[in-house]
Amino acid sequence: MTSACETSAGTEVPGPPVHRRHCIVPPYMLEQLSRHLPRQPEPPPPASPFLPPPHRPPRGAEPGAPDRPADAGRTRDLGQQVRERRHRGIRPEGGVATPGGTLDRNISDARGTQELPGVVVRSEGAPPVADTAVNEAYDGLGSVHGFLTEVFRQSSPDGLGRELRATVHYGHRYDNAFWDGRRLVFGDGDGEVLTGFTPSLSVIGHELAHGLMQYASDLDYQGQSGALNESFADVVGALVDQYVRGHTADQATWLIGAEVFGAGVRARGLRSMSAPGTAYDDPRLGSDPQPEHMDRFIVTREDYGGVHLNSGIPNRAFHLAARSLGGHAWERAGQVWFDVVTSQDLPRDVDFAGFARATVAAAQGRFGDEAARIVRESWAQVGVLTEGASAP
Amino acid sequence: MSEDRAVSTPDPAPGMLEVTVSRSGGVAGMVRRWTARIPDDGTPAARAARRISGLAPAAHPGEASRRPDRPGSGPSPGRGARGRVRDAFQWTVTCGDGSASYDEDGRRRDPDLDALIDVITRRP
Repeated sequence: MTSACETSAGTEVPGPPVHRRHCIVPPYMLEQLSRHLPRQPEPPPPASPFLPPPHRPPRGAEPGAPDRPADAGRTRDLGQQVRERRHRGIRPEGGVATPGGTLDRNISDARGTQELPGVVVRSEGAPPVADTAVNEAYDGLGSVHGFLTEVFRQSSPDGLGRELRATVHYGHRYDNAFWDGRRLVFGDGDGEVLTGFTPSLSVIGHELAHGLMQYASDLDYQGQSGALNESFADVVGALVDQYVRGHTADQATWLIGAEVFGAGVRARGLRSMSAPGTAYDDPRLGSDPQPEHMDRFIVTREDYGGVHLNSGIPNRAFHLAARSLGGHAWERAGQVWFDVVTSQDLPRDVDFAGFARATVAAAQGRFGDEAARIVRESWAQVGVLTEGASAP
Repeated sequence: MSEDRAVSTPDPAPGMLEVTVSRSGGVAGMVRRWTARIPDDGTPAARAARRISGLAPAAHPGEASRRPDRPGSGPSPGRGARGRVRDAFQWTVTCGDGSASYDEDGRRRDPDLDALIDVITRRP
């Protein structure tokens, strides 16, 4: 007979002499936990659907004009498209228009198993099906793809085999969504605290950004580089959500996964990029453990070195930069971060400071001195950079 | 700033193995822990627990040598995801003085471990 109980047991872990912090122990219960990723080897992942083009400043952007949004004219032209592209409540019409015409979605259903890829239930251009999760995944992939192609020109123009794949209904009450190296995979949640992930465009953007990262800088998924990997996934998730809503940096909620919680759960989202550590505080979840400053950097062996925890620090730096740069966050802060991640120069094990310096340089190169100063100041406010920055 | 604290529980009765399973990661990045006692009866779960505790030979090099106060772990070390999976769960299993961490792939490749985690995390 097994007597099971949850505890807040934990073991202090060794690590570099930096600040330590308690990791949360949310007491909510789940029936089924993840056990099986694909058992059969699959062929190597396809070429990236977001092959980065040769680096070049966007049209309309001129170095030294930080108060002028990059490609502002194009952004204005997209306004109507944006308003028509809201993730929730729209019916897909074969996907958003993409310059390269490369959108090719494929949604499968694992039907409660943990076997991937599952049964294909909706392919590109097919009409909506009765299953809401399928349609949400389909629409969400279209929204993210549209965002990446229209804002960052990341779609391969020839559209060679760039299928975007997702599987829904993975596992039984499986409370997670993940990128498996080839596709997005969505569980249905436990049905109580977490009620599914496909309603959240920021989560879909987050997972697809992991795919983008895989073919770009591919930052090591551990420690600070892992937290940067997670942070950039949050950045993309937040930006695509803001893009479809037409929100400026000032208007945005900066929440990741605001739509995944059940009724009565005291949570605004999985993470808050504007105020890490404040996204939730619920008896079943515990309190949001994310640090917002290097003073509270978490040392742990869990979560691959706290990649989902310490990502709060670069998340907040991005938010601060976006707010200070003004306008739509994808126009300048997003462009700078994107330049850095898709460059071929970023070491896979880059730490926060190295990444921060890269963003300062990218801001300087694309938008000039004032933008570089703002980005540097943003990293200083979270304790990552200190040189040449004024106190917060 | 605070620190994790180990929960003190009575020594397990003879013939029982006390196992703690920690699950971290996932897109939510939340940590959960379960502790349970299982009979040392030779079942797959018990075999895995004994292996991790060091009472039985390790199935994988280095697995049984790890202790909670040392970094590193078992067959799928908690030193970062080796594969392409992102936002997957990470599992850490502690029994006695031994502890080992596994990613999802490491868990599924070890049926005894899979059974152990399943038993410990089962909803009561």
